[in-house]
Amino acid sequence: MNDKGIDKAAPARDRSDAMLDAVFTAANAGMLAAIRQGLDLEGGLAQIIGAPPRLEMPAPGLLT
Amino acid sequence: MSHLRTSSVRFLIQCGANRHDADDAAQEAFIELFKQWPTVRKPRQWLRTVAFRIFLRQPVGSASSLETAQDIPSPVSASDPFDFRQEEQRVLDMLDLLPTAQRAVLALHYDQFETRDIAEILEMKQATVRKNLERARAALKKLLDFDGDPRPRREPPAEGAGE
Repeated sequence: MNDKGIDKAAPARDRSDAMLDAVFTAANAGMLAAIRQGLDLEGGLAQIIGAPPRLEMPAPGLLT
Repeated sequence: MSHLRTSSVRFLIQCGANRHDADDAAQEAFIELFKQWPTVRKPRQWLRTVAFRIFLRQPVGSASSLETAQDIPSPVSASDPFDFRQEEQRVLDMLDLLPTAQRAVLALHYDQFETRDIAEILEMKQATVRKNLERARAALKKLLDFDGDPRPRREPPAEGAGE
């Protein structure tokens, strides 16, 4: 498969497979970081465990 | 715990869900996980299984199985509100060219699941998993320029990529 006679024992697709793996591994990590930034994880967890969402501002008179 | 949720959302986006459907399905799966926690032995795999089933019934209505969903193209761009970089968006664009079964197998493969686990999650034979993975990889390699810059390129879908 390799016209230069290099590494004939290995399948010809090895290099492209490795590069495909590299592309997807990098993309996966980037997607995870972007999703983590874009999700409301606290709100989602509160919904799961049944806790009320955190108030943006205290209600009037709450601290008096 | 948050990693389980974000990785579930990523999995569904790679399968073709839009952000809102992916988020909703992952959240619903998480709620079910908490309800059934004492009986769940593999939470990570369990979440993928349940989230994927929820996803299948959301965008395609009558489609209740992966076999039915295979011929239905993703209706919405997967990534909308997330701040994906160009490289990540290009990978998603390429995945858009693949049938759902191939996308799901590929996503789980790169999520470090074994063939046996992928077969259980997607309810298909291990031989079918291997066949879908092989076809997906072959199609994607045709879309990538490995001669120079390893970043994905936008090109027309390869023949057979939509099988």
